Amino acid sequence: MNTLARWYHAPAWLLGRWIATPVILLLALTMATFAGTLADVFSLSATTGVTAIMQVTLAGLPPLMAAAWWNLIGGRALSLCFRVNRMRLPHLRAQLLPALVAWAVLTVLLPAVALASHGGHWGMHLALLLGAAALGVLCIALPRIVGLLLVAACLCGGMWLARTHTLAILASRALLPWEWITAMALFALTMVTCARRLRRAMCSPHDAWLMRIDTLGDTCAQLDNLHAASTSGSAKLKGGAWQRFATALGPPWALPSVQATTLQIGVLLLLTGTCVVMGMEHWHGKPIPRIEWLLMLLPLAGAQVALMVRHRLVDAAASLALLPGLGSAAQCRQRIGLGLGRPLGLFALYVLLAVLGVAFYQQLPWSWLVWAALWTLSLLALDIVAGVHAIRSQPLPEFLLCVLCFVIALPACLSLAHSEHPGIGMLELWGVFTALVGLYGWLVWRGWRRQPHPLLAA
Amino acid sequence: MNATLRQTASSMVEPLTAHGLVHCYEDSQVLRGIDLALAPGSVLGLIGRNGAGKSTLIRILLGLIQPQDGQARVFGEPALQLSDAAKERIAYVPQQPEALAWLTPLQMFDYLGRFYPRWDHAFAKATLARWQIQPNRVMAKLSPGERQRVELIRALASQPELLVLDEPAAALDPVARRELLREIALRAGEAGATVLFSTHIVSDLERVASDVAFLHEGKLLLHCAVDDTKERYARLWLPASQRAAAPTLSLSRRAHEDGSLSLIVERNARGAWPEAAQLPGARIDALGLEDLFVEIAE
Repeated sequence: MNTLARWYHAPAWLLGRWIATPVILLLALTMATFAGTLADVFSLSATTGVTAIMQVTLAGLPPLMAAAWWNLIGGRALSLCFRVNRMRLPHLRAQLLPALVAWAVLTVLLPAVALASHGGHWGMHLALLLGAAALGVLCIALPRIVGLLLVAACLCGGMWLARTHTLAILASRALLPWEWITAMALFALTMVTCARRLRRAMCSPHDAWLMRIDTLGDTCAQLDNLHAASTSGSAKLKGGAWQRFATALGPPWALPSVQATTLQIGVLLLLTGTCVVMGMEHWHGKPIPRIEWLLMLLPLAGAQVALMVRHRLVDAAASLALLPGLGSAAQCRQRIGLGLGRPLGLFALYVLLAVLGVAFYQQLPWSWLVWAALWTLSLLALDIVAGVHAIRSQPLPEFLLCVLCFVIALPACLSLAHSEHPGIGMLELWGVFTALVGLYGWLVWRGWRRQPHPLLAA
Repeated sequence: MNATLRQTASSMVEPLTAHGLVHCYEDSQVLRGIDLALAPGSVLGLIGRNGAGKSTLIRILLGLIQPQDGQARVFGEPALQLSDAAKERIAYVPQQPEALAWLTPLQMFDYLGRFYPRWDHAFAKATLARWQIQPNRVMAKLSPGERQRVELIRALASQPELLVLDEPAAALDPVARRELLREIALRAGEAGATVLFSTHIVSDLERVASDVAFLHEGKLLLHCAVDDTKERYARLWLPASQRAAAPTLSLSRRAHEDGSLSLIVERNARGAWPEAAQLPGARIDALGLEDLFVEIAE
């Protein structure tokens, strides 16, 4: 078999084909643009004083929060609502609908009123928040890549508006009648599109996967059981207060376990904490450049990519495992690892180049870059190996680990940039990095030893 | 040993065997000590209720899942460590084909065909046309039935000696189902392939299977030839007055509101029904395959 044919036969070609080079370049460019704009805005805000950054914070963060909430939780609850409706489960439907209304009040209406009381017109704030919430749901209903690009484009646009102070000017005036009509029409169109696409996803696992609502699977299995139980009369659906709350959160928190509830509370705490810290303009009396945040996000980007590869691997595992020509278990491991490493390595390289560009533009210290790049690449590499060994992802431990690292690394990041003793911060960062990579590496090594074949289900 | 002898010895090896397979998913035990052996050239229909563990059993038999206990062997090799030579002789169609969905059927055949020495390109193309599947459409955009048919073509084109189908007819229309059954019968009859397929459709099983196995509550019941089931198993009906005399060994036991009892019983080694069948008022009813399964499963 010649080199070209071997490459052609490599399963990773199939698994990695979705990360076409142009797509990676486009993503890297978008990320770099977003990073540059965001850093620019914060740098400018920090130098122009508290008023400017407050304007950005007040006008920008609540819509961001609304979008995140409806993307992570509200949109999934909405899709669950469709399914519950189709399965004629009135108890669950009765819990979900009021919950969706409650979340709309909490994430859109109340923030609009609160923002209006601090300045600006309530109508404009309401329109911004509604738009952000709709965007959050839309990003679930669109294919992953399109959703990601849309978010990046909206964030870039928002940052540009903030950077040119247009956002603050916009927020201070009332919406004109034609603006109201246009905004409402756009909102209605978006929601109709979402509803149609989510309904379609209910009928097609592939569409559901594309639209990133494949995590509905477990919940739907539970729903099927509940449906069978309710129609056979063998069991009654319970509706305790805690369950109502959890159901309202949608998958993966609907019909939850204690573990899932803990995760959901963790997400809330993290989002709140992020907003609080993002709202800080000074640390020990010095202005804070926010580029550190972007570097902190890099491992998350890497983990997301690795997660998508894992999905592909799991889907194709049964077919590949029985394919002759991939050799023994050890040879198969080697071939998949190398094949997967190629596209993901390219992805990591592009991300790294984007970061270097931003850092060069912002004149950041090189120690930062070494740390961020190593963290990202190490986690990515370990994720690939974990994927090859079909190690099950464990959301709660992984999430808690991320929060822990985040909490430890954050003060270190801040003090590193501004402390008189940056060595301590760097030491702390390297400690977190080493502990995380070490722990993850140990888990992967354990999986390696236990797994008889890389393509077998655990 | 010369080539002919080696080939004969190879063909005599049982394509699939399993001993004491045990598997659990979290707190539910799906398989409780399954023993199974497929004779070369046989067509075994595996039947069972939803969630009985049919797919799990099939995946363990092929080495796709590591069982918690027991061992499966394919062509004499441990299922978890199959050689390329053994893999060339196997074709497997999962219940929900999800792999390689971003390729068109032709691309997939071109790709997979290179792995199999006996790949029949002509058959793949001809069947694709005969089943009216668009060859240049990405598989993700095909209907579930079309996806399943593409997978079936893929499996058959590799000319396997062991064909394993997990609910192959679930998404097929009656015409496609009939075609599939004809192909299975052809492969088993002419090419001597061994076939294992799981299904809910008993009529399919009666049409092509030579043997049947019923997976119920983690155990294999009724593993026998399809033609034997009517002869070996029957329903024994006992009136309320004779309940106490009911045999202790039965595949299922159901009490009725009027106090009578019906049991699924098996002939003993001498070919006789249990003694209770001779009691006054007792009755033996012959059962079709479907009735037999319903009686046991309910």
